[in-house]
Amino acid sequence: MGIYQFEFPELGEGIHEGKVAKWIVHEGEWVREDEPLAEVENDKAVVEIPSPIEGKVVKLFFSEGAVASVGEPFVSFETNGVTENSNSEMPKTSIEDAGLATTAHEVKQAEVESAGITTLATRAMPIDRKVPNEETIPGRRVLAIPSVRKLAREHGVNIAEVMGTGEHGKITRQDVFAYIENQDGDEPAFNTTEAPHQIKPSEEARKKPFFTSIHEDIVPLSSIRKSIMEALVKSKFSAPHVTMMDEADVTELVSLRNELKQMAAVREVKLTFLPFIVKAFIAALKKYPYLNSELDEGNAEIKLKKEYHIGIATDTDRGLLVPVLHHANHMSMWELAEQISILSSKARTGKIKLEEMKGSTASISNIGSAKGLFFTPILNYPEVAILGVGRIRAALVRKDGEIVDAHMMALSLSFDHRVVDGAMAQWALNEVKEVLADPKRMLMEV
Amino acid sequence: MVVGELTEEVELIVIGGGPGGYVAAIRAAQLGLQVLLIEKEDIGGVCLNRGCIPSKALITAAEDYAKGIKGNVPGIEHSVTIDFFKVQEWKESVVKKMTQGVDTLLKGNQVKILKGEAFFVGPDEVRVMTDTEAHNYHFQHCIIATGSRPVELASLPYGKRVLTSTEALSLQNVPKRLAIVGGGYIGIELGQAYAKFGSQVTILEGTPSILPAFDPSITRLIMRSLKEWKVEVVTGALAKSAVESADDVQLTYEVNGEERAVIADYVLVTVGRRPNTDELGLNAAGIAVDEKGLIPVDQQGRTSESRIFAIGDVVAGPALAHKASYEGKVAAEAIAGQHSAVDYSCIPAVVFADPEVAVVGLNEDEAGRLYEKVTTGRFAYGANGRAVSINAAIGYVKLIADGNSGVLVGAQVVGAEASNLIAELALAIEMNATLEDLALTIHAHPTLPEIVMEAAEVALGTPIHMLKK
Ligand SMILES: Cc1cc2nc3c(=O)[nH]c(=O)nc-3n(C[C@H](O)[C@H](O)[C@H](O)COP(=O)(O)OP(=O)(O)OC[C@H]3O[C@@H](n4cnc5c(N)ncnc54)[C@H](O)[C@@H]3O)c2cc1C
Repeated sequence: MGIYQFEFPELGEGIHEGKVAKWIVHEGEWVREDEPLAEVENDKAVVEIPSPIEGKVVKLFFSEGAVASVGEPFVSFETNGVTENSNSEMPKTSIEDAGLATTAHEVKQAEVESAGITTLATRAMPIDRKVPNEETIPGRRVLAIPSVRKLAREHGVNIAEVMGTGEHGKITRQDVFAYIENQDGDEPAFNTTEAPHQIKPSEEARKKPFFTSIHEDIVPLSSIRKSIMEALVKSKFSAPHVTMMDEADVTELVSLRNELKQMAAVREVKLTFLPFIVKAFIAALKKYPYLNSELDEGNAEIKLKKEYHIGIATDTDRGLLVPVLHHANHMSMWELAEQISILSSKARTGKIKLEEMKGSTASISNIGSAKGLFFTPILNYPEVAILGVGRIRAALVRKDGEIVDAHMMALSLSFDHRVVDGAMAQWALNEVKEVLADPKRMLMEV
Repeated sequence: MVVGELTEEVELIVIGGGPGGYVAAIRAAQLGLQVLLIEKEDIGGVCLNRGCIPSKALITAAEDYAKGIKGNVPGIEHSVTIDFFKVQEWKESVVKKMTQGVDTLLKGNQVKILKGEAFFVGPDEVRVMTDTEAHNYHFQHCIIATGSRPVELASLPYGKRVLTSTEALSLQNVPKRLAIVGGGYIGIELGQAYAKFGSQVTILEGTPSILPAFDPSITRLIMRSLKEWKVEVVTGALAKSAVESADDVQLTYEVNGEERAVIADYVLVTVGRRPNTDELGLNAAGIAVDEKGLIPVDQQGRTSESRIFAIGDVVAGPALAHKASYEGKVAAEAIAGQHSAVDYSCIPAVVFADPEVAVVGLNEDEAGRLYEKVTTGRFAYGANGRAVSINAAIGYVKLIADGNSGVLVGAQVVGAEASNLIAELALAIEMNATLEDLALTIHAHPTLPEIVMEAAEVALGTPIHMLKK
């Protein structure tokens, strides 16, 4: 007899929590391996969490409606086997085997979401029959017969990404058709039996069969990459973007920051230029509220936001994430500095929560840390303005008739021309420049 | 280039007429391409002329003779004689029948055949030297199918009495003593055949076991049969030199640090084959080979030069005729615009030894590394009615399956007709069949394939014709 504690598993890349919508098992009940324990909801879909082992459910750690985070004790079991006590012994792979933490599954979730289906999407796609897992062990082959492999190739489908619904996860012709349908976005993934007659693979897919090649490596899109892709396409093709570029003289700011660095060290805060830029940006947004707004085309109105939640575009290993400084206008410079470093480290380590990436009203994107200068940032749609920050360069400038050493910061302000016209945007950018050039003014903006 | 020389335009050039090249040429022609096949020696390549087909003919003859000598069914007495010259004539006629058949197929498919040696002079041009002239051809696509040739050991240069498999297949007399360097499948096949014809055979193998690529339980059965035919096997032996004289050859080798010698009529060297990629002008085509001389290709057989494909023994993978043909079809289809790819689950490999050996997919160790749990089932020929009634009770079928799903991942057959039994198992693997599927398929009685069904039942724990231990 042993007690086995099952921790809440990762539901997908970047998804670290979920609401327990419904318990399928009850305390005292005997469950088999892979039988569903609970329905859990995140903002993408409702998924079933399968049991990692066979045993008696001793304790359910959450009540229905509660939110569980990855790693928290979720269910404990009494097992017949030798004591397999702990979570650390619950290898991550068995969660993966259960089909919860790998890419294709997320893809499914994303697709389900785009198909507008929010109910039990995963039920009909047996989560324990995960084909991509097979591929993660090199040498093990995807279960599909030669004619089905050929069918997939002919439709440009990577067989390894197809969810097999057959016995032992075997991929059938229908599964391939369902995958194609689902990619076209007009049929949910689980409608497999009706689908096969009316397949219409995209022309492009027809032309581009799937093979590995010595000329290229094929990398499946991660779910983060996919959502970045979708968001950027939507933004760029909805809002007519214009970008203003200018330089701010940050000579004084540079020396101020150098002075403050010691104080920062004492407070154990990393003080970058970003808090100052956030302040200056908010000053401009306050003065030109159309830059802190949202266009509601349906109702033919513009919503001017009265709060200033600033998104900070953050480069992570998994792709670009935009954590949000909520109520940034109410924060002191220290609070901003602290909050920025907390959020960006969460984003980099994958611990960021979904709500920490929601609700921004305008955003800042920093290319200076990568030594970039000017660029044309894409709006974090439906926001109307995004401030691109480039590197600070040493320059000689003419001031009051004299040539002096100065530090110049490159700024690129993109805006939605449907809402804001060029002159206003430039005035707003001028405001940013002026505040940055004269840090004393920041005092007045607090 | 000579002034005034004409360059002809061809849609597809196939270089090499072996099982890779001729199959590719036919498939491409079927798909509407205009095909020129260039072969410097004989249509059919190594396989039909100096490999699979002639060796199997000789092995069959040897087996026939052996049955005559040893008898097969008690009560039937033979008195056999052998006219080896006639045996060779028959073997040649078999080869001829097959190569003529291929020739007819090529012509019937409107494939143009050119006898000559081809090499690249550019990324879209080859030069072909025939007996009388040289001619350049511009191609839209080209398939390299030039195959392989025997490796020559520096210490044992080929000569009158130091032979490659090609000469060993065409000896006009049965040698009294034959020494073979290399205990791979070619050495074993030919060694056993000549032993049955009456030669005193010695096999030297460098590694600790003959057929090093196969499981020990397989090689044990082969060793037993070699012993029966008085074949001397020396493992861990390093051949050092061969000195030819008018009547024989002395082969010196080292084993355990000790030098030894064997005198034989001939020494057959079968220590591997190397791809024919060194005299093809691949540089001019912009194609580099790897350290083994193999041409890197993608899943369709396309080389780094996208108009040029390569198949068969010149690319990675087992050097087998059926693999060459499969790749040939894929390359031809890819060139014709189809979405074919080299995408097999398994390639069967057969050793036409006595007893025959055939394997497909993973062996037990390999499966153990890939799957959490592995289930195996083994059933002996000795408990099968057909095997006993054809007097071939030696051998077994072993099935290897993923222990969780029961899906078959590999199989090994040792025994009579293993080469034929393996087909069902390759199909089973490609079709993702489980042990249950095999057990539930009715196999005709009395036949050898029933052993497959029984092996599946052993794996499932319910064999009928075997008592549980
Ligand atoms: C003794 C022996 C027994 C064998 N038994 C078996 C067996 O039982 N089963 C099995 O599957 N395999 C067997 N093989 C291996 C099999 O023969 C090869 O794997 C197979 O022939 C490879 O086919 P290929 O088309 O790649 O090349 P090949 O058959 O080698 O054909 C290549 C052809 O290209 C021609 N060529 C080369 N260079 C040029 C050039 N520059 N210009 C024009 N033509 C050129 C050659 O003359 C040759 O005809 C055996 C081999 C040997 C030696």
